[in-house]
Order: sequence, then structure tokens, then C-alpha cells
Amino acid sequence: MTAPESEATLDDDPIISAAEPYDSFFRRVYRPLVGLAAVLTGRWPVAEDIAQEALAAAFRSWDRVSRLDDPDAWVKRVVANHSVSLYRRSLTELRHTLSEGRNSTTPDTTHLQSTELWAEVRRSVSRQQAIALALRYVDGLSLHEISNVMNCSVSTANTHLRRAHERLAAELGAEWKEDW
Amino acid sequence: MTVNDQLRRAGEEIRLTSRQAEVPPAPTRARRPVLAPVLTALLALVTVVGVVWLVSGRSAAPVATTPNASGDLAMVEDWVNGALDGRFEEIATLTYGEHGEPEALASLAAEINNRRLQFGEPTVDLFPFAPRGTDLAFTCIDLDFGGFSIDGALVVREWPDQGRKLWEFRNAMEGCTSGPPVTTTFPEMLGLTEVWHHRSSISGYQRLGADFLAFGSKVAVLQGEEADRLEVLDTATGDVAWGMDFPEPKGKLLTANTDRLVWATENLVGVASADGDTLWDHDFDGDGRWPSLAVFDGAGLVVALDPVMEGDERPPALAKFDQSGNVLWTTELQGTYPDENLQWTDLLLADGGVVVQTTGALYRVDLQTGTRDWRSPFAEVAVESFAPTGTFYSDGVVYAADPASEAPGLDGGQVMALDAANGEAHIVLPAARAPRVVGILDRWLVFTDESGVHGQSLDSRDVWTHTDLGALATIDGDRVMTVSPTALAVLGTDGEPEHEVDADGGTPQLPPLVLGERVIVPGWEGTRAIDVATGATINEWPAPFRSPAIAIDSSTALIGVVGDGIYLVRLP
Repeated sequence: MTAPESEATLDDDPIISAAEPYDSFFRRVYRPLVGLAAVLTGRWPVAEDIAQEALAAAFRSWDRVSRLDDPDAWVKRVVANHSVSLYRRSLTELRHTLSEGRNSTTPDTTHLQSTELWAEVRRSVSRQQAIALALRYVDGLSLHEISNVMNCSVSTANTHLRRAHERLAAELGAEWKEDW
Repeated sequence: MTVNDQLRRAGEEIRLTSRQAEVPPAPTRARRPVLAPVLTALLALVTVVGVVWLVSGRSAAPVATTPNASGDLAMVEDWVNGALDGRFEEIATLTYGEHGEPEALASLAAEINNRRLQFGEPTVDLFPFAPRGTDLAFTCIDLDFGGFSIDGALVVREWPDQGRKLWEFRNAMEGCTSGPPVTTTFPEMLGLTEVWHHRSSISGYQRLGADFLAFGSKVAVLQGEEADRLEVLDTATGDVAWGMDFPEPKGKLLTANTDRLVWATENLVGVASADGDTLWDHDFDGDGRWPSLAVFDGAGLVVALDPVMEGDERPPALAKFDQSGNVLWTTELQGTYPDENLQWTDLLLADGGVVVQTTGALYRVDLQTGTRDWRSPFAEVAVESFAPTGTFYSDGVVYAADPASEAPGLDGGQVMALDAANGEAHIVLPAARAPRVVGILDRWLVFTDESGVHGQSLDSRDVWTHTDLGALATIDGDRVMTVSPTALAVLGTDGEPEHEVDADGGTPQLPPLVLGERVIVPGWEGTRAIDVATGATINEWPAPFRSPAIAIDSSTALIGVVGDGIYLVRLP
């Protein structure tokens, strides 16, 4: 049995060598990912787990992820999907439960005034709408960028945002405007 | 204040708060030059201790001291705490041997960070990496201290009950401080006999996908640091029958029978099971999709293709190949969720068709033409799933579990029995989260969900349910073995408990493996061996195995341990 002919390696790939190093990517996106996951899960320690797992997934496939036009969008999509997945959330919560009592680097969130609002978001709107809101208001993304992360058309992303605002406005008894 | 303004403020607050999050080390194998001076000093220290140890001629007694006994030790503590981001309270030491070089030590430090980052907490997840070989995994748990090693090089010890920690500089396999040399292996810790062990050489994250594939009298395993090698073992002896290198890393084993084995990297490749000779090679590069599941159809092969997220993804699809690797048909199966990247969870043949499941959808496709025959009436919400749901086919019926439990308005998923010919639902049962079809026992459809274990008669439609007996079950002959964090129950064909016993010992993670009258229960807190008759924990291993376990017969099983390799075990 002989090995197949291809000798391609990561080091030989000019595209890879020009891509952002993973370590730099990790440091740059970690905190924003935690914020995104925190909004969508309501649990900061869980958010850290999800951010780390998403970045671990990126690491596993870095040779491919780094070739993407927008690796940030890819990893945000992973975080968003994992954050709203009930199954995944139950696992991470279990893991967190098991790790209670150990040191944590979780920020102090007891003072946050926005907690209830994000909880209302999670209760009131669909998961896709929640993701769109989080990307818009936590990550500060444009409509085009949101559609890129969510892997949908701009009009679909716009619909998610519009319906989310409508629903929240009804729940909160407040006005809203299409300003994105 | 408008909703927009409230959200804007809330978003800003989250952004500011997230900046407080401590950024953990990135999982990279890059060496850390900043550690070089420390590691050099550490090497010197390790060498001195090693020499003392060797000269002393003690084979089992440790060379140990207490924290802060010297500047060198404090330096080690600083290094460990720094390398592990201060999250480990324990103290680590490095031994000599193959890691007794600064560069190797630096690589080890990076590797530790990789693993810590991947799993978050050591006691839950690191242990599967260190069950034997040159490693040590909590071998002295009965002495009430924690400890682990990685590749024979790192030992962490402390005695919480005594309020002290112990630093040790010795080979991890030399055993406990106050006990005999450690020779216990993973199977022995579960009261099983190890027939053979084939150690995995896969490193880092690749280990998570390093499942094995059993076929005929052989078992295929991934090997190589980057999962870039395939080895096929003789199941009886563990000897390597043949092996081959992949052209690229991150290989994946798809399916095998006694004639053919199919693996994938960038390519989908069929090889002869007997000797690994390449039969055909299909290049998927540029297709935008990659093989995720495969099933043989006679001489042909049906493959489920996942979209690759590269901006212009193509829809998920099924493809059929002939025995020469030529594509006979490709059917794209984008459902009603064009924005979703679906992930296939189950693929099986069913009465002239192939049934493929993703979360939120179940399809049947004609095997000859690739025509989509029907799509299931599952709840029309796609959710991510990370494990098969037990879908299977029997006597013209497809039994499936729909995990779409997070759909708006749904409290859980469904379990269904569908006519394989037309998709018509014969049975629709509501289920809680994470439904999983266990199988059919004496005309009873048995399934589990987060609420417990349930059965429905396929004839009378009577239902039995046990919400207090756990959520993971296995059918073993004419009985159902079900486990929960607190109980083990053996149910008869009618769902009546033959007996139920307390079996306190952690949350089950995978369906139990039954070997004779012994049940092996992989759980988050560890893996237990439980006596069926008494419910007593016979033995316990503090590491869960996460790869599959397959019973070869009533007394022999293959168990894959992530990061450690594969074992053939048998009852003593």
C-alpha cells in the first residue's frame, strides 16, 4: 500500500500563508463572540463555553475557514446557531453545572440593566429573529453583514429584523422604526 | 424610548461587559518563546530530580516536596498557572523522558492549552486523554486526590482533605505517592479484561472525530497526528492487517463491509477491505459539499453530502455512486429552510429507497433514479443536532425521532412510524426534548427522551412510560436496560420493571453497553460498570468514553476511548 500522490501541506498553500493567523483571529473575535452568545443564551459562563467551542471548531477546520471571504461571519454563525440550540444549551449547562465551584473568568453581570430586555427578546421572537437582533445591536453589523452571517438574503435578514421589532414593540408597548 | 433605542443601549452594555471576559489562550501548536527561560530552568530542575531519583534506585517512591520549598518550584507554579490561565488550582510538574527538552516542553504547554480550551475543565474532559500507556488518570482517586498526566509528562496532585498539595517530579506511571506502581488499565478499572489495546496517535481536536468502524472480522481506526492515516486491525488480535496514508489530514471513515471500505478527505475513496487497494477515487474539491454519511446499496454506494460554509454553499444532497465510483445521480434536498445549513444525522436503506434524516426533515429518495419520493411531516423547523436519533427501518416502516423541540409552540419533538412507501404516518407520538428511538421489542416501539423511557404497542397502541427511570436505554435480548443518574432498571417486554435498583453515579451520556449481567454506563462523571442483578457499582473509571462501544457478543466489546485508542475487552 502506497500513499496517494498529493503532497500538499498547509505550509505550501499560498492562500493559507496569506490568511490571518489563527491565534490573532482568536484574540480578535473571542470577546465579541462571548457577547453575542451571552445575549442569545442569557448565560455568560455558557456563552464563554460556546465561544470557545466555536473557535475550537474554527481551529479544527482552519485550513478551510481561513480561506473564506469572511471567517468572522462563519464563526459568528456557528456561535449563533449553537446559542439558540436547545440541545446544545442543555449540554453546555450540564457541563457548567459540573464545573461549578471552579475558577471562572466570567465577567460580573449582576449589575446589567439589559438582562431583562434580552430575556424578553429570547422569549418573544423566533430564534432567527433573535440572532438578527443580536448581530445588529451587539455586534453592530449592517443589514448586509447580518445576511452574510445568517447565510440568507438581505431581504430575509430585513424581514427578521422588522418582525422582531414589531413583536418586541408589542410586548414592550413601545414604538419602533426601521433605521438599519 | 423606542425599541431601537432600548436595544441599542442593551447592545452597548453587552459589548462593554464582554470586554471584561478574559481571553483564554488560543489553541495553537505554535511554540511559546516567552516560556523558554522558565522551561530551561525547569528542565534543569527536572534533570536534577531525575538523577536523584535514579541514583536513589527507588522504583515507586516519589521525589516530592511541598509548594514554595524552593524558588524553582514557585516558578513552576507560576508557569502552570500562567499556561492554564490561572484556572487550575493544582500544581503541575514535568517529568523527564521524551519531553525533557525545552522545545518539547513548550509544545506540551501549547498542547495543554489546546486541551483546556477545548474542554474547559480538566476533571470532566481531560481524563479521557490519559488512561494508560505513559499516562496516569486519577489512579489514586480512592485516596481522595486529583491527578492527571498528559503523554506521561504532566502530573497534577493535591490532597484537599489534608489541605496540602504535593509537587512531584517523576514519571507519571510510577504510581501513587503512597501506593504501589500504577499498572491498572482502563478495562481493569471497570472490572473487565483487556484483550488488546490499539493506541491512538491522533492529537489535538482530531481526536474527537476519531471513531472506529467495525466490519466483518476487522475494525478500522484513524491514526496519525492529524488523522491522516487509516489502519485496519484484526478484531481478534488487534494486529494491524494493513494501513494507508491519506493524501490530506482529517480523514473520515464513512462505511465498510467485508468487500469495501469508504473513506473521505477532500476525496471520496473506495478501497478493498482485504488489503486497502484503491478501487476508485472521486474528487469533491470545488463541489462545495463534503461527504458526511454513507451506506452501501449492493455494489453501489449512497452518500449524504453536507454543504460547506464558504459563502456560496450548495444545498445538501444525496449522491449515488456505482461500484467504480461513477456518480449515478445527485439529488439536492434543500427543504423549506433555505437559510439553514442542515446536517444529516441518519442514512439508511428502506424498501427500494434511501431514507435520510436531518433535523426537521426526513426524506425518502428512490435508489434507482434519485427521485425524491416523499418528505416527512416533521415539524418544519430545522435545528442543529449532534447525534443520530436512532432512525431505523423494519418491515416496510421507518421509525424516526424528530428532535425539533425548539420550534415555536412545541414543547418537544416527536417519534413517528412512517410508511416507507409513501411517508404516511402510522404513529405520531409526542416526545420531550432529545427523543431517540431505541428499537422494537416484542412489537413494542421503545424510545427515550429527556423525560424518560417509553413504549407503544404497534398492535394495540397501548403505551407505557417511566419518567423516573432515566433517559437512555438499550434493548438487550428480551429486556430494556435503562439508566438514569440514580437508577438502573430492567424492563420486560411489556415495560414492566423486572427490577429497579439505585445506581447512584452520575449522568449517563451514551446508551449503556450490556455485557452479560454487567452494564457499562458512560456518564459525564465517569464510566461505571454496574451489576444488573444488584445495581451495585462493580467498578468505576473516572473518565467517560465518548467514542462508540460495540458489543461483539455477550461477553466481548470494542470500546473507543477518545484520545487513547480502541480496546477489545471481555468479561473476566
